[in-house]
Amino acid sequence: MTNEKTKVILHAEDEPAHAAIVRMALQRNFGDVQLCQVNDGRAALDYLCRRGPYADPTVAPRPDLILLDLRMPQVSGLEVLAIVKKDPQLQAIPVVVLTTSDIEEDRSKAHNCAVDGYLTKPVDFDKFVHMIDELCAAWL
Amino acid sequence: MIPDHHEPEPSSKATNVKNAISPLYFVVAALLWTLTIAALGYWHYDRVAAGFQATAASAARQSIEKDKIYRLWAAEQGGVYVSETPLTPSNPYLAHIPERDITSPSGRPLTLVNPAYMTRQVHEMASERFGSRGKITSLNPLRPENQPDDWETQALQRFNAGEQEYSSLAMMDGEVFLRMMSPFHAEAPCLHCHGFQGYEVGDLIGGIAVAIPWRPYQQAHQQAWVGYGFGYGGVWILGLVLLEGHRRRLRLYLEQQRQNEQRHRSILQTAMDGIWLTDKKGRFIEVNETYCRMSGYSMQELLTMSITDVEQLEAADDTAARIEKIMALGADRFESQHRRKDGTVFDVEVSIQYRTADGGQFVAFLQDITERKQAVGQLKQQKTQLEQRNRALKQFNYAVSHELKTPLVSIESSLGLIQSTLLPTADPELTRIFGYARHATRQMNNLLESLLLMFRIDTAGSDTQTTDFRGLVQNSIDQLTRENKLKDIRWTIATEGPELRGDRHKLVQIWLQLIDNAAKYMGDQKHPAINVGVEQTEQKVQFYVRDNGMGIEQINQGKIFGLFDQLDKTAAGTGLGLTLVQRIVDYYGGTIRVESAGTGQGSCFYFTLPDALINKDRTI
Repeated sequence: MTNEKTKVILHAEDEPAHAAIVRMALQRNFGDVQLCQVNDGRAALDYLCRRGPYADPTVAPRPDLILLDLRMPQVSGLEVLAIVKKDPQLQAIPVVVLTTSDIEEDRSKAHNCAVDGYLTKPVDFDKFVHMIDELCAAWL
Repeated sequence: MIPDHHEPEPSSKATNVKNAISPLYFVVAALLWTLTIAALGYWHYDRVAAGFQATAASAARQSIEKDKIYRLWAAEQGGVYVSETPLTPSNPYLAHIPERDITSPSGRPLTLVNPAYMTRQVHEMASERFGSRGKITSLNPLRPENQPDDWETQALQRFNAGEQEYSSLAMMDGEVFLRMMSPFHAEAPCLHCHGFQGYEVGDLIGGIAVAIPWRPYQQAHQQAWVGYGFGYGGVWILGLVLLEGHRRRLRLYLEQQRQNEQRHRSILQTAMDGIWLTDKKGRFIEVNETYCRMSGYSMQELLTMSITDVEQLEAADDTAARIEKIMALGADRFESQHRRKDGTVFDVEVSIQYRTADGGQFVAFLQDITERKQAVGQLKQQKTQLEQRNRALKQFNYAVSHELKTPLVSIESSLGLIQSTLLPTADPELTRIFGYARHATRQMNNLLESLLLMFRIDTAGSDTQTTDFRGLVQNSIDQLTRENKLKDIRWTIATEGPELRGDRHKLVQIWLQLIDNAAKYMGDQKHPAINVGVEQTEQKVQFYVRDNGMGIEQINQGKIFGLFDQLDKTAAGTGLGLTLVQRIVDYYGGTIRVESAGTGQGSCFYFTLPDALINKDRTI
């Protein structure tokens, strides 16, 4: 593991508590993963396209996994997903939706945008942590 | 287009009917019948009378002919000599004949009897014996007693004019006789006696008459007429009786006819629907008041119009095509629009029938459906609005439920995070309080999950698949076992059951919730047991889930299916499970009920799923 390059996860989440859980779960079992958290889809796109504060590649390394919440204030997760999967530079990065919604409509839209995974946040804290562990084990 | 001919007004028909049943009609008919019978009788009488007269004339003619022959014989002998007796004295009118009286060699006196004398004597004998009277007469007789009477004079004058015979019924001495007379023309022997009067052969000398009493013929005629009278009278009376009977039947029939017609007319006129009677070309023969009101036309106006004059939607060709179609099919029912007199338009539903009677007619019932159509339109609109609102409400509920989950995840995550950082030496009270708070969030999550499930069930269009009873039960038990909700339960599960077709996710929820419920409410039961099965009763297939748990009190049995009704507040659960089950059962056209003898007696839930059964008639 030491020889490998540090894994980078970009996490777009507007809900601070949800962001904290993901952060905490990663710290527990995946301490060497670099987690970049943004609170809106617009910021996520800025990060990916290295715009504004993310112009410096050292500040915004290319992520190995993108985690997206669906409902965010300015640019929704689905919009970010659509742009990423259309961009030849970015489309190879796996994207997993991490949301509270299991509305069939959201799920099918995400699938239509070639999402790599769709996970519903469980209310139970322990289950949530367990899910993040499994998620990272699968995609990193 | 205006038809040039219409049926006669009904009033003139009524007059005919009245005439046909009036007493005058009968009197005239009876009179005609009487005259017919009388004329026939008279003619018959006349023919029979003529027949009798001909018979009598025939007898008279024979008598005359015989007289003539005898007379001719005597004339050819030149008269005959007979003994002169008081009965036959010598004839004074033959005094001019030499040897009128002679004496036989033995001295007997003989006198000459000429044909006329002989005939007179024969006639006198016949008169005495048979009552018939004969006479020889002439306008110029030798013997003055042979002078003709009035009738004979008339006959002789006719002979002069060329007639060969004359006969008629005539009175003689107060009695009726058939009198006949035949002329005598001079022949050579006659001139022996009559030559001196200047006659020549062929001249009319006189005539021979005979009179036959008419009484015997008359009597026979009268006797015959008694029989005929009965015959004619019988026929006459029979005729009158039949005539009167016919009149009465006719009157009864016409009265019924009239009543029927009146009834039909009143039905026609008082009907709520407009009614038409039209001919094959669509021209109105009859219309009722209701249609007049609908269309704003008077009845007189409509009776000069045809369907195309009021039809709004269809062109004349379309109407003609429809008429053809109705004639082929016999009936039709459709909606259309008609034009009122004032030009406004109204919606009608037309129910029309074709009948071949009277050269082909259409009977149409018309209902003004303007209001109904408006109402239907409004209903449709309202339905659409309601559906929209309902959809919006569902979406709202669904969205709200999801939105509620986001903060819930935040709360639970935060609590979990904090609790995970608590040191083992921390205040146990604090740990317990964290436990309460996290239990509450999970409880709330369960509620939200149940609500979401319920919204999903109300949303149709889920994927339908075929599954079997046994698989559904096993799925439910497996899921509940995974969630660690089933402990030490003795199972009895039916090995066979019907196949079901529906949304597997929904169907599984039924058994899931019922089994979960049964396990949850075991109470103090030391040997919990659950029996899942299916049974065929009369017409339906009924599923059941039975337990030996705490049971349900009678008064609470009606409440358990209500939203958020949870009888045991201490048990884990949302109170939505049974409501959910009821919704699903309802969705598949079934019913659900519970049976429980009371607290501690266990309970049994029975439910049906008719719309999910693949073959509804199938027995298990």
